[in-house]
Amino acid sequence: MRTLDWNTAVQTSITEPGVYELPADVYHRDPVPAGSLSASGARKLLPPYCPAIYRHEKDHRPPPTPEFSFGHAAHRLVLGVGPDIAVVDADNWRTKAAQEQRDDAIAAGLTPLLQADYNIVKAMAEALRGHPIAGALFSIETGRPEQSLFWQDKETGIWCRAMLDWLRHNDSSRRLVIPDYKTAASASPAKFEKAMYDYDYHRQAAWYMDAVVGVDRTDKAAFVFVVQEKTPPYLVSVFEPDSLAVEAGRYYNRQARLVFAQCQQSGVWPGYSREVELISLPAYAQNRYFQETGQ
Amino acid sequence: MTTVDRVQTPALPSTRISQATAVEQSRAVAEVQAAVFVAQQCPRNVQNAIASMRESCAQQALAERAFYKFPRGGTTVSGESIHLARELARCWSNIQYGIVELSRDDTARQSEMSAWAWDVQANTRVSNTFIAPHVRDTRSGAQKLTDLRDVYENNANLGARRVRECIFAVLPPFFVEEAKELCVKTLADGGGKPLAQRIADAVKAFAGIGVVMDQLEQKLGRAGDKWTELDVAQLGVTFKSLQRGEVTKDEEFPPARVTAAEILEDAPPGAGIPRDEAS
Repeated sequence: MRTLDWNTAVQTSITEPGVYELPADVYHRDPVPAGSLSASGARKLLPPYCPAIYRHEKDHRPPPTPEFSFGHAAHRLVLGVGPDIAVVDADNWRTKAAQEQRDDAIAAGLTPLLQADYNIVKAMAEALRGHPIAGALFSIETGRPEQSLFWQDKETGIWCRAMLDWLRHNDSSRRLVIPDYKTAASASPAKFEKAMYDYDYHRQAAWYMDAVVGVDRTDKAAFVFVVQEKTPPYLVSVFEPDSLAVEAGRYYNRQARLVFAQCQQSGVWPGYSREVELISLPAYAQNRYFQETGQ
Repeated sequence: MTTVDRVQTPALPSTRISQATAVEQSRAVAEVQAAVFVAQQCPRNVQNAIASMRESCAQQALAERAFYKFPRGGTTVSGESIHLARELARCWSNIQYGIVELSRDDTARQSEMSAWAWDVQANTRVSNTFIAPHVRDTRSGAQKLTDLRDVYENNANLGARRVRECIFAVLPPFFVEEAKELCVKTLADGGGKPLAQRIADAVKAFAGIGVVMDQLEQKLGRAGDKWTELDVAQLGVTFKSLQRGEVTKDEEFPPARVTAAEILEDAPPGAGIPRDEAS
């Protein structure tokens, strides 16, 4: 493992596959000179998004939203890494003073959080520590937080990257279980299944499992989501995506890599379509129309 | 009945006919006439054919190769193998079958192929002309085949599946159905070996390819001491399919689920996570 200190890492470019410990900021700015694809980038290349959106977001990183800051802060307290939190003593972001404090925090590389949200995040971290499986998964004795993995895809030759919340130490006698922490409105299995599909978390699972294989960390990996609710009692569930979910995720990841390789080669990052597309009513609207007109 | 899988403009055929080809053409005409004539002069004895089929299907060697399985779209497709088809064609007699590579186009990377089976006596012929692309589907997408041996094997593989269907189409259904039942029975019977010994043999064979008892029990849904003849027979079919590369180990024996015990096993007692050092 290579550890890069923040200042040198800014200038450092990554040209060798492997596991690195990088500040999140450096990772997100993509330290690979040739350009690399992350799991969230892969998602943006495929419908309902398109390469043009991916390219734009890569060139213009959107400012953090309050939800994003909340998630980041939760990661910070749970994993013990990430940008420091700046607690803003205000009830909401509507006052000018609060907004100024927020902007200052972002400018200083901190994650701004309202006092009330900070209290919630702290309570969540406490609840997670108390959970038998989740506490063990993120135990400092068994692994390292926020590890960045870089590898080259064998098929397309493109560079891929992944920042794992937690990388457990190698133990050749066992498979490597990769945990990923998610805050969610609900940690119920049925609700999270839907969320996994809506936010393509299964693609992320497949991406991370391929990542540890790609950097030659292991040849057998398993993936689990550690999901925590954002409301008391901050329940925690641990889910493993089934083999079909991983297979589907892997399929779309491959499509994304092919699109990425093609766009990178041609330098063209197309929008949704260059043709005039024919569009239909959704199936339920068609059915309703047929029913009402007796067709 | 002739079915064409895909219609494609064939490569322009060579107009030059060698002497050997000319001889082969006239020989083929004579052979067809002779085959029909001989078949009608020496018609099959259905009773003998059935007896011969029963004898074959009672053999462990055939029964073990009679079925195949492979994965497709999340489910496993299984059925009767080409080995069973060929053997039944032999027993039924007066049947000819074959695979022909009609043309090969290295530019388009494909071969035009024909698989056929012909009941010479009844003069029922089923053929299937199809395009065999020189690619192999892999987990990471279609892989182009350039090696001549790979192309040959791919063509033979695709052809074998078509010729199998052609043979089953010309054979009477009762004949095929009885053969299948007998093969299943032979597999379940295990060649007269006691069940306990067959279970031990199966476990040993699977251990040799890295599949442990736990995985076998999980697959069959019951503990080893409760396995039946059919369970062992099913394991036998799986083992043969694994050996032939029709299915992979991961597909047949998916990795075990992550359990709380597995995670807690390597966590030191009372292990916590880093304390909050936030500002």
